[in-house]
Amino acid sequence: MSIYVITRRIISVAVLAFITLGLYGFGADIFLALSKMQFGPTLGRGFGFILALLATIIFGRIYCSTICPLGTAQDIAAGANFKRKYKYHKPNIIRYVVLAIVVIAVISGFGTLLGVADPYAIYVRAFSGALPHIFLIFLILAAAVFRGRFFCNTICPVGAILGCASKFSAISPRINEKCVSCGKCEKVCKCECIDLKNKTIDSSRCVMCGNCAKVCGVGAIDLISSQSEHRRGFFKSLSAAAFFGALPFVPKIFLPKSAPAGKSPSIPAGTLSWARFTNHCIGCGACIKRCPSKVLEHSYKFGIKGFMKPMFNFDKGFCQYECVECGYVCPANAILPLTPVEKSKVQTGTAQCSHQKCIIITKGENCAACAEHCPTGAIMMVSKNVNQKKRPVVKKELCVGCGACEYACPVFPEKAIVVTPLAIHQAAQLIEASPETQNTEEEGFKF
Amino acid sequence: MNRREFLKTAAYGGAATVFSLVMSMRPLKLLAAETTDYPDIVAVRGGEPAALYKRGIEAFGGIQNFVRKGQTVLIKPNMAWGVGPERAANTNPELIREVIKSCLEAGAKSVSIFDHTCDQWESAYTNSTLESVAKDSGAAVAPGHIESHYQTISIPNGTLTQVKVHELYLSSDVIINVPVLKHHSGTGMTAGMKNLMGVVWDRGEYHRTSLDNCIADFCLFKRPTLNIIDAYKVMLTGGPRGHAGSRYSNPRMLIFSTDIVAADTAAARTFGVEPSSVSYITHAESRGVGSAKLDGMKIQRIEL
Repeated sequence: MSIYVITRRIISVAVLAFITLGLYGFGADIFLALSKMQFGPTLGRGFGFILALLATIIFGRIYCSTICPLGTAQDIAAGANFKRKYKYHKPNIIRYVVLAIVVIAVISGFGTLLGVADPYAIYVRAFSGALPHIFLIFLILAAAVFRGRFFCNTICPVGAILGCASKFSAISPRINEKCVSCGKCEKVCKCECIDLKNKTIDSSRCVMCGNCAKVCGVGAIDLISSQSEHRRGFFKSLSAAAFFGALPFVPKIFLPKSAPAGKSPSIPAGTLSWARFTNHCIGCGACIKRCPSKVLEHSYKFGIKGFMKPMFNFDKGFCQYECVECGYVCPANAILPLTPVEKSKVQTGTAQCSHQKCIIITKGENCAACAEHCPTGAIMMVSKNVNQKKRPVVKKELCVGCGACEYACPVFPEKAIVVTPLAIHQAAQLIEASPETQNTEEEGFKF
Repeated sequence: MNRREFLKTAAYGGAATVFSLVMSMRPLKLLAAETTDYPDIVAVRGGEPAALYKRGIEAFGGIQNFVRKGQTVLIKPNMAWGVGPERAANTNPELIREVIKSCLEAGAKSVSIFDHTCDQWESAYTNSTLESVAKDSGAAVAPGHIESHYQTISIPNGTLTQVKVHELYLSSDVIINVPVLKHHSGTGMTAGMKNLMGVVWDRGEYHRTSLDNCIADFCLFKRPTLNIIDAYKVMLTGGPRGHAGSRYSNPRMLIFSTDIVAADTAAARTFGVEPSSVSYITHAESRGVGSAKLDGMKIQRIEL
């Protein structure tokens, strides 16, 4: 049994390490692959959730002790408590409330709100540096020190769903006739699900960590076993898995394509529209963490559906024209991966200059910081006559909405040039190319 | 030796020591000017950047006239933009490679480059290819985006009296300013003086206050030892970043001068504008930063 536990631990620590390193820019490919295996971000919009459900109905919740980074983080935190002794607890009713919330949220099209409680998202947001996110993971890890996988079996929406699929999983741990009721297994069960009075292990809460089998001195725990109740009830788990797998598609079919009400923020190219974005993004913040320009941040002012979704803040930075990083770290296909050429043809917003605020007009000084930074040539410096100082005018069809102008504008508190976001992204025109070489090789020196 | 002889020897020895110390601290360009009659401006055209550089620096008596063994050198290119070398929005990489090599051959203790970029710093350092060229050539590449690397200095008579300047500009023994000549939407054109905006932290302050005056006044604080203006490929429209519609000329020229105003004046003519129409050049001249009167200067024009 030790081999199982050692292998599982190595895998879970490796997954945790690569996800963490990936947030700091190391091993981008493996980070993306691991994030696309996460259940929450891929539910209804990827393949990871299907693999997780399949694995769960066969092997139980091994996902929760290998793939989920928050699970491994809790185990490591709980490891600090050397003297820990877990006790069996009856199933918590809160789990069922959570389950109901999950179903209602997903059917009504607010499924991405579950990102607030999604374990992958919670883990990634913990690296954002923002206090509320750090506090949340601290609470969860603190609870783990005393109550093991308390979060996983009480609040976690992924745990609630996978728990239904694992209740009658094909393979599950069981206590056999060799048991002498010494109680060692109960003390190490981090899911508090070993009932020694009835000699049962609740597989809907068990994360298949293997600690019980490892510690049992008489070989009374068969970690990998096929129990008759499970064989009879397998169909129920299968149905539960199918139900939750199909659930995200219900709003897609039955709800009209409704855009969230109100204004929308500026969001990266590859999101296609605010409506599509809010239906995919779980607010994990991987894009925010990896953005080299540091222009993305969580938004809190764009309604319920917009809650915690990333948006551009052009006071902090601007979207570098050549950069496509965010599309390559998104697990939920909320930001589609683009090439720089594809990105250059996307208009996410348009800029407009309020001349009455512009330094060229208010101070009569040369500025043109906006035109200077514009990557597409959308800003022209024009004047009506020779006596008028040239001032910036935006050719909207060339603008991609990157915000370089707004960021560079030195006027405060209100910038003279501001980007207005588009709720549905449009196609940007490219500036007409000039002939390759003007071949005006001048003869001689002009001085 | 009696006491009198001892005192005489000590006095002469002390004076000699002080004299040589003082002489070694004086700016090299003064030494060069006194010992040999070098031109005010050297302009070389009609070749590749490496060849242009070698011929031009030779006319100034070689890089060893500017870089002594054991000195620290800052080469300030323009690498502000996240675009490739073909755009000529950043300094030509082959030119930078050659300048770095020659400084190291002259015995420089270290050669560094950096820029406080306008575009996102990694994209600018990478796409310009200047980071990799510099590292290949043995130069150190310093970050320009970290505020704590900048220190506040005073410009008593400046439009801005306090400016945050990068520590490398403050501490390096030799500063070689290697800008690229091109169009600029704000100032009309950019060359030597404008390139020094890249050693300053708060560029927005320049734009907010008075762009042309601040550019000129900064040179009152500290001027580069030598200016080499890259006019190999000149962006005529759409600058400073350039775009698909930008037009170019190909003077295939480098302009060398220790006088930054003179260099920019010659650059303005090469670009195709009257120097008197470039506000920061006229400001700089009136404030005594340098001279824009090319007629009175010794200009060596070299065709390769």
